[in-house]
Amino acid sequence: MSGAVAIALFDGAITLFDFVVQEINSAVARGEISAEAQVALKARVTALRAGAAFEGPEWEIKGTPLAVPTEPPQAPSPTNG
Amino acid sequence: MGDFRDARIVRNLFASLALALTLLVGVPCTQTGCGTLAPSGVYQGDKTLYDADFAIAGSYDLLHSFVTWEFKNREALTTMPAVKEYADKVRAGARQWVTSAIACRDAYAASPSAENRTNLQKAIAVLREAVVQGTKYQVSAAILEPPTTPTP
Repeated sequence: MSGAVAIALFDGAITLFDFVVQEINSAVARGEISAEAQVALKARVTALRAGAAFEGPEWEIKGTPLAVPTEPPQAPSPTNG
Repeated sequence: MGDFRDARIVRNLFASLALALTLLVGVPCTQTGCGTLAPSGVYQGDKTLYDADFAIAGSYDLLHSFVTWEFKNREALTTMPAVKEYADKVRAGARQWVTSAIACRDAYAASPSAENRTNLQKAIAVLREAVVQGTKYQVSAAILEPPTTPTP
């Protein structure tokens, strides 16, 4: 499979992904979000405020700490390398 | 070997996208639903605030999933140092991105002006971009992963 085909496949999959997300959102739009579910979501955001969610070995940076980026960097093309 | 690699690429690609889809849409929707808000809820019918919290929490889940994936597969990913480099940038920035989005959310909640709404949308866009990039790295890793077909 050539790099161009891989990129095309990836772009197509992303397009499909966006389409599926929109369709799911549309399909469930008729439902009502319960008061309990709203409480649960707000509790999750409250937990994120505390910062403990960013602790753990998976969040540790080994070596020299990086400067905090203001925006996420761009991913490389899948064909590089 | 080409057919095997093609199948591997497609399988890994859709596995990654399925993970993102599950975390971003599937799990939250099955737990909370994505429709209208019950007026008796804590959001008092404010769908913008609900959507903001939904985006913030969902983005955190995906960023956490990405750094956890990199952490657990670090040895296998040594041939792709850019993955760890980006994961470390997420580790360095995620807390600030989330904190900033929550601050903008709070500002909008206190004063739902057009300016605060725009700032909230921008903060969430930063989170969303980080999620998209993380997913791209996962897909890129799947595509660039060398085939493991045994030699005859």
